[in-house]
Amino acid sequence: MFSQLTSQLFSQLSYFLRLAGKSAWNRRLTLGLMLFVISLSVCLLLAVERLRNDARESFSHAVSGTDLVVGARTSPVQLMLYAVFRIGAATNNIAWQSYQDLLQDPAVAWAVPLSLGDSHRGFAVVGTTPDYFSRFRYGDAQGLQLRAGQAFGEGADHLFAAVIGADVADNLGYQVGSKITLSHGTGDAALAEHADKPFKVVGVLARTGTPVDSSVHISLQSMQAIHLDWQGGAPVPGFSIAAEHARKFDLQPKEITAVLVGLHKRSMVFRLQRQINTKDGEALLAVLPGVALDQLWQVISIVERVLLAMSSLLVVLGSAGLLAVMLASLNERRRELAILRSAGVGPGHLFLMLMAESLGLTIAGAISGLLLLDVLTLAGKDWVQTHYGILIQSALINATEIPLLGMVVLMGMLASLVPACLAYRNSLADGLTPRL
Amino acid sequence: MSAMPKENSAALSLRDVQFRWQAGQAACLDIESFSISKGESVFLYGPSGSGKSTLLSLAGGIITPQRGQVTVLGSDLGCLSGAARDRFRVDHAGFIFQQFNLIPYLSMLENVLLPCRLSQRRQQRASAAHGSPREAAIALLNTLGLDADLYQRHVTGLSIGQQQRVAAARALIGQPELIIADEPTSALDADRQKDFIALILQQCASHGSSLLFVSHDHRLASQFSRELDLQKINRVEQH
Repeated sequence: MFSQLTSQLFSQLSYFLRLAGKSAWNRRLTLGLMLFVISLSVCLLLAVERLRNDARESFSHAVSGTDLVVGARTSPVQLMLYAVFRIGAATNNIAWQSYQDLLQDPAVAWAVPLSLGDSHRGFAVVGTTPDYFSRFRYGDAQGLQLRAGQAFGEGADHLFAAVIGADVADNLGYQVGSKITLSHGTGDAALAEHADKPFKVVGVLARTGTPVDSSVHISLQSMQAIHLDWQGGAPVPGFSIAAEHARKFDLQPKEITAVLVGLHKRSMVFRLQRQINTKDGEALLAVLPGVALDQLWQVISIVERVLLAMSSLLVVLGSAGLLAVMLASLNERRRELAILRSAGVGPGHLFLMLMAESLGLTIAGAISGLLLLDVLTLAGKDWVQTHYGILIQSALINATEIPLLGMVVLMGMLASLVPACLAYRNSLADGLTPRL
Repeated sequence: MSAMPKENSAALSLRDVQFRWQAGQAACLDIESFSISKGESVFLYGPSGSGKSTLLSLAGGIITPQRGQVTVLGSDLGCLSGAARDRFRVDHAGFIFQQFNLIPYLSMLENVLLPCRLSQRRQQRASAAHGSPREAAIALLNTLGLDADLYQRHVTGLSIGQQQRVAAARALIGQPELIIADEPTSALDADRQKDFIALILQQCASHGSSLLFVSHDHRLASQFSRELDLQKINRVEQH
């Protein structure tokens, strides 16, 4: 008896679902448009969310494996900005001797000096040592790879050799062997050209998705050489040293901008940081890249919050659209609901039918939005990487997106409660004849 | 409390029934006594706004009166729960409306079969009479003069007259004891009105069903076994 009752209930339920399906199919144009709106808003929501995460990821992947970044005393955020992101300029340089002192410290495994301040057509020029190419790490401790050519070596033979990042090569069409001239100063408004001492591209780095891609790397000696005949940021009038003669000068730099430091033991990092920050003599600042990156992200997290607010609004918009469509269709359907009512369908069942419809619509919208995004991601991944330097992860679905999609479905359900309740109420209040 | 009808009782009876659509509003229906015997066909006449539709909703158990008793086949509808009333309605009553009777996204056959899908009792009775609900539906549609080539057609392509006959078949399938018709002929022209009423009366007679037929058109009354002016039994003054 009980099993007969359950099987009867089950067959009735499946009949209702089939009715709901047929009814929805009957209104497929309106519902199809609604599905389109929901998928688009889900697609946008997830896209914003993914970009947000990937931007943060790319950001925090800019440097890794470096235990300390050392520069002239300033704010940690500013030091990170110029030393790692090549944004803005250093307020002060640090003496070559300070770098030597760091190298002598027993805790230090390696130290790579950076000398900044010049540019090439908007791309930052980094004076450094050949160690840079073996020591620098980004992302999950990935090392730099050369796409073409080779890195420059130590010594006077490697003067005027440049290793360029992938963006520099791709955007300016350079390859190994191209000749480039550097400008004094940074940005597009670089003032004077080092036209008398052209550089030759000897290597092109593989893409990293970090600021390295938009850097031109030269040796510290080259950096020194192009400034031999300069004083106070300008060429000395009537005085010029030809490129071939530059080799004869002492090209030992007097000062550098920042140092990337790796330690033997990570546990020493706080001791060394304190030691550097409180050292007598030159005012130095040592920062932990991870901590400083977090601080820097805090600064720009307002953008993150705006993006989050925007994505939330998209969901609200989608739900409001769903509500509007369901309400509009409810009026068209009053006859249909009254007929079902006369055939013994209870108001509770009508409620369930309407809920099932919008739930199905929202779930279908969420899934198709996700798929749409996945297709777009696959298609547009390379373009975004080249133009915005953001590496998009192409997972089918991320764990963080499941609660977001759950939220979308919940919002859809909340929105559809209104028409479902109205249908329930109308079916009780109307009797058999809808009173329009 | 049983939903099963008792023998030898009226098909429908109203006693001291008062109904208002909203609390605080004046009552729109106030009937001391009204009943239909088994097998009787009653023509209930009244102008628009006289409470005809309300009376039908009460008889179908879709609404319950604030006062009084509505009894269908011996069961007091007021004693049944909402869900039980819904089940009772489809088990024992068939409805024909004024127009737009059919569910647009179901085929003609599916429209007729709707009560059998929702009521085991109607399904069993249809099967007992014709072997299967489908056979019963086809037999009814044939009797009502609808051709077999229309069965799978979308109902939106049917003429009004055809639609009303499909609605009649849906009301009659599974032989419910009470057929409730709300101006089912008002969208038909005069000749077809007569034919349609004759068909329904004939079907009700062969099934032993009672018929409550309401209309504002008094000319149709002649074919019924009893006619009644709603304004005479409704104690609410109509304006």
